Amino acid sequence: MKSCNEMNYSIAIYGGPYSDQASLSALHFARALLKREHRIQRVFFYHDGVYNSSALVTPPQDEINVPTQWQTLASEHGIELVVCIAAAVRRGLLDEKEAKRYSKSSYNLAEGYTLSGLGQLIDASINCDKLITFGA
Amino acid sequence: MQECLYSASSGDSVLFIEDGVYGATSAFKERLRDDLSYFVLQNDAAARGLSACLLTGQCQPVDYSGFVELTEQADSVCSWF
Repeated sequence: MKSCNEMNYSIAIYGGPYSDQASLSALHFARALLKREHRIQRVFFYHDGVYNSSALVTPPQDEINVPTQWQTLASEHGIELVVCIAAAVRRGLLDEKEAKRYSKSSYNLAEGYTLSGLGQLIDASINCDKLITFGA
Repeated sequence: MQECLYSASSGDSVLFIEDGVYGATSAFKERLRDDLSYFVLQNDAAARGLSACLLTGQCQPVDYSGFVELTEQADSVCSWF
């Protein structure tokens, strides 16, 4: 069934990809949103949710790769994948710039994800029609 | 669940998801206020072996599309976890 009014959603995820259901629930919810012709502006990864952005996540071949699923969904539908920089860096999730800043030999933020501040979550709560949080 | 039901205003909708679906079982029937509408995410209930007969009749089963629909109808959405 199609919705009568297309709305602009953002999603916040607080749980890691294989320790909590949050990210998987959010994925199912995001797909249902798109099926009902809503727009998803941003997915914000916070707390342990930042682990969803690791390029090194390597589940067994018969299990779904949650970070990759988000990447695919985001590139197909123009969704911003924003990772809280403070939560990410302290958990060892760095992009090239942060790796340089802290003199680390490598970085691991997956393609399509951006490190940014908590302001992006506040912005989503103000400027989107709905912000749905999947907690852990 | 207790905090959610304490904070809800009359007429609000409550959706049970993930481990929260246990709140939709008959065991918690007495705690449900009768001025709220209750829904349970069928996928999560089924994943935990909660068939329809174990859920209280007050909770209407919904799928993810129904989840989206509830967020469309609500002025604001609050997650309890």
